[in-house]
Amino acid sequence: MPVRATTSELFLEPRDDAEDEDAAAPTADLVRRARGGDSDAFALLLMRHERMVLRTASRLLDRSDLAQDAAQETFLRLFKYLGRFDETRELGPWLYRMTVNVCHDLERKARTRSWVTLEAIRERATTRGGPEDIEGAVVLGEKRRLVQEALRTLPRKERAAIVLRDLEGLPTATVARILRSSEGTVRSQVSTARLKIKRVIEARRETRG
Amino acid sequence: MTCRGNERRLALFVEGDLPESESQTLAAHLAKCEGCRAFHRHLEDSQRVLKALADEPADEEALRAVRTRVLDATASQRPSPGDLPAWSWALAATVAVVALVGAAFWRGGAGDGHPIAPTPAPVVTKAQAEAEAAPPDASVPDVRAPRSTFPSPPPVSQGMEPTRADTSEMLSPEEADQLARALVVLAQIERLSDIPTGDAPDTGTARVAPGFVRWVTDSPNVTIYWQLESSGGES
Repeated sequence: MPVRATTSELFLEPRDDAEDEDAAAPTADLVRRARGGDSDAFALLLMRHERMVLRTASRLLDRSDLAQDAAQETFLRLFKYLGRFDETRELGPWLYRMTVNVCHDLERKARTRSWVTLEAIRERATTRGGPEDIEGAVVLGEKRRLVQEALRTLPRKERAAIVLRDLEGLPTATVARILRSSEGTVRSQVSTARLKIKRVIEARRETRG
Repeated sequence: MTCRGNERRLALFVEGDLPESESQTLAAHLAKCEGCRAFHRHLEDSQRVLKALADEPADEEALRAVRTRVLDATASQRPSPGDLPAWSWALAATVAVVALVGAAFWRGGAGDGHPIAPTPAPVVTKAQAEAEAAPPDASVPDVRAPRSTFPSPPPVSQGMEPTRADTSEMLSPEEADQLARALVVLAQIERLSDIPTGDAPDTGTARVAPGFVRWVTDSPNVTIYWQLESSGGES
């Protein structure tokens, strides 16, 4: 579900009533206005969908720096293709599809380059945990690492299907539409992915006693 | 131990993704099968771990960074205007291909009403053949055919139509390549060993050899000749 961000997330100064109305404007109106060059409307579209896009990219890519690049590229493509977008259609599925495609491109490029960014090293060092970690953070970090590790073992299409179905909570039919696939295929990918994730989690728990 | 074939069904059942009728059957089975019940419990557990990721709060710093970068990048731009429908691209591509092939077929034929095909060969006279051996002279127009990855046509007699020595009317190497690619699928290769060259002026060169290949295409206006050298190679 698209997260409705408030304009105060972007602008620190107080908002007036007209801008509050903007924040509640239907997405189709914002698309129409953004297409006409209204930068505020585009900013609102961005804020309305940024969590969804960044969250999905983070789960598909497992690297914060790449996920941010993917989210940025997704919104730049939205801006570029606004003229083509049919505002009577939902923007959410279009953005999901674009995010999945952009992540796939970035992942492929990142795989060809074998270097690791400082950001990624810092991120891994942080999630490995240090003496300052409180117990809850360790448990949360541990779970996240476990799930990310399990997601990493999945082929690209299975990962996209499970992220959209189980982590984004989208219905199977919507996932199929986003991935341009059939519901049967998505169901098969999802069941396979769930079984693989179960195996990875159980295996890791066994090795850690 | 789960019953054979139930694992995949249970993986869907655990999140309510199984069709209603199958769901009921599986639920009835679970009530009496301890192995499948245990498997189902473990699946529920791993799904809980997986979904814990969904509850994590967003990284506000990352969101802000992305927002700033996107808004900065788009600040001085306007979205591109609406594009033509998708089929218009296919139409444009088709028109472009037809125009390209058509231009290659008919180039130079507009003035005298003759199409260019069969591609005329430059008539190489003895004097010109002698000039080939000499250093190039800027005052004398070079009538030799341009180098092309497409095979050169054989010399043609003046009595055979159409005969032009003006190489500027011939296909450029790029055009020749494009034409060859477009036609090679349609071409039917016919080897000839005795294309008449009797009326042709004596070229005085050793380039004329008895073997030729003629490509007869689907177009009545296009025939492609391929000259074979006496050494067995292609010229």
